[in-house]
Amino acid sequence: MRKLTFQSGSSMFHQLYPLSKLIWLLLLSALVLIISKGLLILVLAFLALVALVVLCPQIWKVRGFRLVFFTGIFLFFVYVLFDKTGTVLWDPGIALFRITQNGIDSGLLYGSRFLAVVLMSYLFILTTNPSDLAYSLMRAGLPYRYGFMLITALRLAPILEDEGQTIYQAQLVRGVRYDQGSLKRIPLLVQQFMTPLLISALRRADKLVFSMEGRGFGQYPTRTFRNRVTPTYRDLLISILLGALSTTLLILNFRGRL
Amino acid sequence: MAFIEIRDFSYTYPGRPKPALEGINLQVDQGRLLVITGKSGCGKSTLAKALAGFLFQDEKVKFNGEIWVNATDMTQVPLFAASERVAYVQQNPEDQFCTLTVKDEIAFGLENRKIQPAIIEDAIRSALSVVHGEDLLDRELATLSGGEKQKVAIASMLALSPDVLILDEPTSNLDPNATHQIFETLHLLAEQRGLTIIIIEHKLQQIADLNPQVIVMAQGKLEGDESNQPLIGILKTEMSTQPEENSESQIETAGAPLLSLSDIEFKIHAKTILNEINLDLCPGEFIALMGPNGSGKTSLLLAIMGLIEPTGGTKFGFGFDLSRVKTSGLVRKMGFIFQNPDHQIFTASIREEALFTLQNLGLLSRNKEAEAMAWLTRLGLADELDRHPQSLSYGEKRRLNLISAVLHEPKLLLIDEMLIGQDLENANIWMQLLKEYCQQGNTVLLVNHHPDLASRFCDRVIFMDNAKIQVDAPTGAAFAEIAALGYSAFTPRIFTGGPIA
Repeated sequence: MRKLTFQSGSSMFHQLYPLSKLIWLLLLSALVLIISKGLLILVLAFLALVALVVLCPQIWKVRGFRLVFFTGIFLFFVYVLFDKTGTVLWDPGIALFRITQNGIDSGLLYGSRFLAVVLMSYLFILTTNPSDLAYSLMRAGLPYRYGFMLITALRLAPILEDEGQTIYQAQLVRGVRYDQGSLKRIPLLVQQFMTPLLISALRRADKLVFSMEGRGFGQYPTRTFRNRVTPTYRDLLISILLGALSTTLLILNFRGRL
Repeated sequence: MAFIEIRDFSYTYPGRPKPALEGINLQVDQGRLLVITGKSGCGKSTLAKALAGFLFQDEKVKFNGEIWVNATDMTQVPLFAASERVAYVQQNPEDQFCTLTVKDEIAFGLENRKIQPAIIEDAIRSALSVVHGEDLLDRELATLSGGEKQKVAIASMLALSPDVLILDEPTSNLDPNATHQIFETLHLLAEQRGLTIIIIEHKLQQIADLNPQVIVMAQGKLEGDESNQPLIGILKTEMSTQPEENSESQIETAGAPLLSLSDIEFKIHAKTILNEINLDLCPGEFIALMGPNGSGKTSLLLAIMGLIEPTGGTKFGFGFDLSRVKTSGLVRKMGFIFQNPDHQIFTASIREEALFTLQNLGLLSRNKEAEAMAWLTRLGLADELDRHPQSLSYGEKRRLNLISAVLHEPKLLLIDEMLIGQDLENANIWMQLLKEYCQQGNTVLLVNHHPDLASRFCDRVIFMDNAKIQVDAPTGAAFAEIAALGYSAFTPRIFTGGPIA
């Protein structure tokens, strides 16, 4: 697994209703922006990280994940090194390495905010079937034309990726060199690559229109949906737990002495 | 009025000078199987699309005449109303799918028609059972094989209970095994369901027993409704376009092999794509590479060309160890034609496209230009040299692909599924051209699903399954071995004992 995509599975996170997951992702992201105490956010980020590692032990091999993770930690050190206001906690004599309370606080706050939002999003993407998400959004009232934009995009994206690969290979075997010649060739190379890809995509779109309209798409302003995933008691339970956690964090943030 | 009745129908595509269909008159009774056949580009698909009501959605279209299906004039109704009469299964099921799972795909049309969810579940199951695909119910579309995809595409149309089912070359992308499955499904539909079916197909032998009504088209016209003529007569004309057996003309495959693969292995994420591939390709050989879909044929071609890097084994060729030579270093020696012509046309005119490889390799000369013109003339592409190649027909594009792949005279030409979507006559011409190319001392490795053509033209057959080479022998012996291994669908009719008109 190298790309960040949905991984099918049967964990608790997989079984949650996509829409309740999306709503909680948005709520918790908002919460992370409201809370101003870094340690509290760090709790959330840590929980998300544990869930990620448990659900998907190969997470470190996902393209870009390490970069994201170390960016969070890097943010912490940037604030520690460059925010010199507040009480001095440790002074080795070199200005750059003088550590202050505000440096630590801001580093924790911004580093963990970043990590919390990103890790929660990873968790959401890895455990949510995008097609189920689209269907649940449509059932919740999103006009089905927009919902199917998402579904057909999901359907076509891997196909176009493959086609792009084939076009590149077909160019190589016809003697096209991307690594030679001057910069002036770039527009030509782009044109030679994009023309077949675009034409192919347009042809596909055309056939897809026939396929969809030939099965009554757009006939009525609404449509029915076969029985797909529905919210369960699990969603309620998780919502109560997350609600309690959020309230606790908010109380600690505004009342606590942390 | 007959169940399907076409009266004096003519149709011209917007912006085209000539009509695509002209003076079509046709009657088909309910429950009948109609076969439309004819050369590539004769208007078969256009006629099928007209019957499905697809051609009349733009107000600017030019047409005359009427098309009646079960008392509905298909030229006058919106597409969703037309779809209640006629369902159209496209050539490539990939082009038809608009969702990601089997259930969603079959439910799609029913949901659009606001059918109640409880009824939809039953309809999905019964549509799948008609095509004998019950086991596919919980699968994702991306994990299906070619034949399974085609079954789901048909089921998704059957779920809408149309009066007429149109299938546009449903087996052209399938290997012989899957083709057999689809024809079995077709038999079920015709015999047990009594559905009116229209099929565009070249492989007539496999449906001869259903007593179809056959129409042959040429240049947008019906060459004659052959409903009264026994199918066998048409099969004879079809067979007569094939040349005499010429496998006896033994090619002298002299000297050291051009290319040797030993123990080539290729794995992606622990999945074995190629395994223990040992292969020598000699100068002058015309080799057919056959096997079921997904057996590793395309990957083998890509590995030879250096477009994928094998995870094990060695590759020698043209006097070098090729394991470390990049594709760009092999281009002068080897040519490669991919499956889909649209993916390998990069320029804005036929002339430029023909000369594209030569230009990139710095081989362009007066002589070569003259040679290119000779090829273009021979293959009927020299009339409009400035035309955009993407506007050519499928068959014309394929010819242009060939020209642009051979002008730099590669010693080894690798071709992936060239014959898809080509009628038998065109396919024969192709095989003849490639044979001639080999007779000049070059080697051709051609992936194809046409045992009959392979046995007539090729010197050697390599058969793959499960990532391995199962059979590698001179043509005659190879087909005997393939039959002995139980893959009889992949052998010419001589070995299966089927009728040869």
